[in-house]
Order: sequence, then C-alpha cells, then structure tokens
Amino acid sequence: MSTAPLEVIEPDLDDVVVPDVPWQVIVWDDPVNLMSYVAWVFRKLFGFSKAKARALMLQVHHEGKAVVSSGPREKAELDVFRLHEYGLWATMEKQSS
Amino acid sequence: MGPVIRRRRVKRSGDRFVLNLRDHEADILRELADALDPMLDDPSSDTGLHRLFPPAHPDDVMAEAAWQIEQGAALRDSRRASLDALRTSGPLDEVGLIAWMQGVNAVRLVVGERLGTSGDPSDDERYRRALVLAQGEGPEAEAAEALLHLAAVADLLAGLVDDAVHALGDD
Repeated sequence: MSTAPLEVIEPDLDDVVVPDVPWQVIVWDDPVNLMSYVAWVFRKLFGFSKAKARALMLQVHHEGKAVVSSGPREKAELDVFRLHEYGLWATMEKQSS
Repeated sequence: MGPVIRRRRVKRSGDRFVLNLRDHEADILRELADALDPMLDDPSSDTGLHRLFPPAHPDDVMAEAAWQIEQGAALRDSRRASLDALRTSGPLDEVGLIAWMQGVNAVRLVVGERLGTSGDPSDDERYRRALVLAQGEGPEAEAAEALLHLAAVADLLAGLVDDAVHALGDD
C-alpha cells in the first residue's frame, strides 16, 4: 500500500449543478383555427381524453391561453414545434415556482 | 329552420380516406399550394405568412433567434410537405390525410390573415357591407367582390378541415 498523499480534488464552482427548472408549453387563442381542430390536435399530440382536450380547447378559447404540457426544455421545444406544424400558436417559458 | 346538411368531402373507407372534392375545389387547393410554396423561402416577404412561422419565445429576442436558426428550416420543410399533400387526389392513409389536413389548415391561416379575420362580430358586418357594395360598379365594387371571393375560399377551407377531423373520428 502506497504512503503517497492523496490528492484532494476541490469542486470547481463552474461545476455546481443547479436544478433544471421545468418549462411549460402554452397554446394561445387565435381567430382562425377551428375548435374541433384544436381539440383534435391536443388529443393527437398529447393523448388527452376527449373531455380533457375539449376543456383545454375551451380554456384557450375563453381565457386566451392554456398550458398544455410541461417538462424539460427539450420536450417543450419538441411540443412547440409539433404544435406549430399543426398551425397552432404555441410558446414556451420556464415554469414559475 | 331545420338542420343544414352539408356534403362531407373526406370519408373513411376501411383504413383509407377518400377525398370527394369537386374539380373546382381541387383546383383551388392546388392553386393555393402553388402560390404559397415559393413564399415559404422568405416568410418575411408577406405579412400573411407570419402566422405559419410563429415565435416560440416572443419575449426573448436571443432565444427566439436561436429557435428560428434551429427550427426554422425544419418547419419550412414540414410546411412544404403539407402543401405538396394538397396536390394529391387520394385515397390517403392516415398519415397522408393528416399531412393534407395540415396543408389545408396552413393555407387557411394565410387566407385568414389576408382577410384580417378577428373572430368577432365585425367580420360578419364587413361581409354584409361587401355584399351590398358588390352590387355596384367601380373599384369599390371590385374590391368588395374580391373580399367575398376570398371569404368563400376561407369557408371552403374551414369545411375541409372540419371534414378531415370528422373522418379521423374525433369530433
């Protein structure tokens, strides 16, 4: 067994890990997209039940917006992209704590 | 007044979907796809296109710039593929119908921007006024006729999206 001193590695402040704040995806109301279409897109992309998809669609319609998903940044970006492909206006932002 | 019965232009046939479009309806879709396709390369060239490339980070200029760099080309390719689907006469599988529906909805969004659709009662008031003006002559009547024609196209496109959603079995 060696008697050489052990090298102690001090953590670099740059390596400090901060918790990843989840992102949320918001769909905004618009005057063109059909309500039936929006509800269908929600079911198709997120697997929501008919009732939940309709409730979220109505929230978008009446309140102007609704949060449809949340999670890591990469997931939020994919969800926004897929919603844009369907012509819905979606944005992403960090979830407020 | 009894229920309005409208011909469904998209129907499921087993695991395929049939498009029952009249010739002029198919022509309209092809013409819109042909007109819109080249404009996708420069969305800033037409205000009607901004709805096809909406911002993901409206309050963060840097993040939005990164988004456009990373996703802009992919979204443009997706748009182009859905416009290409409008040139088909079917029958389509589910993936094909969804691409077709995305194409119809994309041109709907652009037409809606051109019309200045607001979703409130002022839209109907504009069309009522246009119906009256179109009876006359001169530039005002011509502009009114153009507005009514575009509104009729918007109506057709809305019906097609609704028919596709119905055929996909989720309305």
